[in-house]
Amino acid sequence: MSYAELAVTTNFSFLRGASHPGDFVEQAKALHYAAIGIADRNTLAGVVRAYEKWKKLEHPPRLLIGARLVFRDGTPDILAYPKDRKAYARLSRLISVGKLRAQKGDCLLDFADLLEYRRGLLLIVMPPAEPATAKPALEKLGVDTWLAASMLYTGEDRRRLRDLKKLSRETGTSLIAVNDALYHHSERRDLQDVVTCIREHLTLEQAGTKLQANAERHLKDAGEMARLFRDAPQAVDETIRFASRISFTLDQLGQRYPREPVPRGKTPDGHLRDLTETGLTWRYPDGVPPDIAALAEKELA
Amino acid sequence: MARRAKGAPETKRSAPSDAPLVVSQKIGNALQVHALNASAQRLGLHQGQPLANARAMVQPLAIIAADEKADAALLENIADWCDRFTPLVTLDAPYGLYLDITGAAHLFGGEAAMLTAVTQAIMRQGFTVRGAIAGTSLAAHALARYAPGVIVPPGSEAKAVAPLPIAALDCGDKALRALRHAGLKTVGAVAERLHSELSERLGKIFVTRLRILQGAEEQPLQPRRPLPDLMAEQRFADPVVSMDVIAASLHSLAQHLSAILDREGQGVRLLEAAFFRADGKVQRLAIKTGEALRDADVMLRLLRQKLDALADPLDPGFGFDLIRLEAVLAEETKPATISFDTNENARRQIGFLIDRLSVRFGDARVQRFVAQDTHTPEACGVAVPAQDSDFAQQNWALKRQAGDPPRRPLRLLEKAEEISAVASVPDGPPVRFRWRQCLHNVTRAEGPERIAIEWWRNAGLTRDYFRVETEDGQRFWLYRDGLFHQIGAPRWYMHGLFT
Repeated sequence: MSYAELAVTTNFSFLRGASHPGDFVEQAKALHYAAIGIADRNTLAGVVRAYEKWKKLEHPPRLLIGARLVFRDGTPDILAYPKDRKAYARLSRLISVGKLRAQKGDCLLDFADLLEYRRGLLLIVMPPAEPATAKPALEKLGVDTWLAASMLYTGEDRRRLRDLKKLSRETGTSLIAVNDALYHHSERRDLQDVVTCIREHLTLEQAGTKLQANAERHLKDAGEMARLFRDAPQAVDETIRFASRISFTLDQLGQRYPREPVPRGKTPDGHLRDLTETGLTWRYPDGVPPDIAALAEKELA
Repeated sequence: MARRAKGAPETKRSAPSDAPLVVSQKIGNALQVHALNASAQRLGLHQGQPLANARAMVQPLAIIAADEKADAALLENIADWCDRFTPLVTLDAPYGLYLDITGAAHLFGGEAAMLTAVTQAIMRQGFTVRGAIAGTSLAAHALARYAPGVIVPPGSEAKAVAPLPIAALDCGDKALRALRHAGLKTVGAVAERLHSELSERLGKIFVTRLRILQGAEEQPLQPRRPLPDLMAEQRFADPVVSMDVIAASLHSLAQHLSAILDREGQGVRLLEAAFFRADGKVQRLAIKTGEALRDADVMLRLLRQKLDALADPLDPGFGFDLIRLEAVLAEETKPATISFDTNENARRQIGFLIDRLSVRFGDARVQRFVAQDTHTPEACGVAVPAQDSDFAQQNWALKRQAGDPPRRPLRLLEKAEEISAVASVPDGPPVRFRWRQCLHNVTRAEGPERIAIEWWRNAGLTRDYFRVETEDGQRFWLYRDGLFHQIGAPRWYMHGLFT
């Protein structure tokens, strides 16, 4: 039995997650996960810390790099995982588009932006309170799209799971199990409540239902996930299939120096010298003063 | 400039006989003459004299110990009674009262007539009283004591107080000695000195007092009771006793007040009816309303109910000579428009019902639930007095889709009741349970809805709630207190019934 958690919100989703990316990776290893995906709100910032911790561990679970795309146009949240390095570039570009549009610290994305950059991205749609409202998005996204299901002890989990199954059949997407984790261990619930209060500018007394009702948003082991999803065991297996589709790791990002615009048959230094000489004769049409010539020579040497 | 009438009833009842009588008071370790009657005065006794000396001078001498509390209560009563002249009555303890008669004198036929009316009315109760009318409180205070009966035309307080002795400054023995030492005998003489000089010798407060006394500055009076925003009153030349007349009077007052409220665009939230008895007793009825009220009929209905519900019925005694209806608290309202919105009308009807019930049973007894933003089920609704809460602010989260069964019972049990239940580990619903001696077999169940305790508030266990339906079709809301992996054998509780 095996499981991979793909909906993970770390503390790099500012004032939402209550555990470090490294904590999640460690906990995932302790729970014998096949893979752990990091997906923060409109950012990739947390993945570096996760990667650092991951490198230090022996036999760690696979680390998947992604982001949780949060839209301004009412589209449900979508987890985006790039399959390869090129798709990672497109995901980065997509997030940059949103950030350039907004004030510092914010990111404004539309569903149309995702459609533009979606090639190579594996997408998990997080269904809203009323699952049917996710239908148009699922239909537009087409291939490489999954529908997330979670069992969070809301009292109506099984009824909701039934609705989601129906929706996944109608849209031809596969159901995938997530626990939408906000912290790696249930002990962090207190901290999560506190950061929620900070985010909402409320005291604990005032926050009320803005806080989570219980402490279930943590990483759970494969056995527990299988028990929770006994009505839809394929959703748990789907997490492994999803992870196997991804080949991208952070190792693939080396230093890549851009190609320099040097004409064929010249060295970069030689080209610079030529450009400088052309410039000098343009600037001093009556002959280059000796001190300037000396200075240029010194700089080029 | 406000006009202040200063009544200074000497709160000494005339002695039944002419025998010399003094009231003694302990000051420090010595008994002193605190007050005395006319015949004692004639025998040469005076206020502040050591009681031993007085005893030596006059024999026999009737002595009564002073009761300051009773004196203060008496002054309060007189002040209550004076409310009939103006709503702004202030105590000038220990023996005086200020009446702010700004805008009220014309009701009594001018200031002179009003002063006579006030003093005579108090005198009729058996008090000796002196009064004066002036533009500022201290001027009225001084004139009532040293030149009673004076009515100072606006702006000439300085002239009026000039001939008064320096004692009228009421500024303490030390200052008085200093003034006497300087050869100053009258207020006028003091006032002629440079204020800077006086301020240096006697302090800033002295100069302020002097300026108030001269009418150059004013000190606002602190009303004893909140001043009504708006009011209507009816006076009776002959005190009325008949309940019919009183009811008729209330009717016209309510209509009058309603018209005033309408004109001002206001509605009353706290209505008070004051009944002034000819013998000085004042009875008040206060009525709180849930929303701003302007309708005379509704006011009248509430008043009648309050009157009916009184423990001791309204006692007119020798009759009421004044009935007043005050809007103690009025607030702006939208003009009364006829709404075709049935919700709005229903809301208004419920508001009136709440007001009527509150008047009859007391406002703490009529309660409504106010939604609280919390996950803890038993804390979701808090009962508060119905009149205090606003309908519009109600925000009960409707947590279900149309057509779904209710997630929670409308009302919970006062206290969750322990039940014995059989359920599967770790978070299964109960298969059967026993509640109040009865065994129930569960045929359907939904859940768990896991609600953790508010960890910052108190210790407790996480609960798993289930909605269950039994064989005979009853639906219950019950929970397991605690999780299996946290405590070995969690208990089960019944928390509510779906109807």
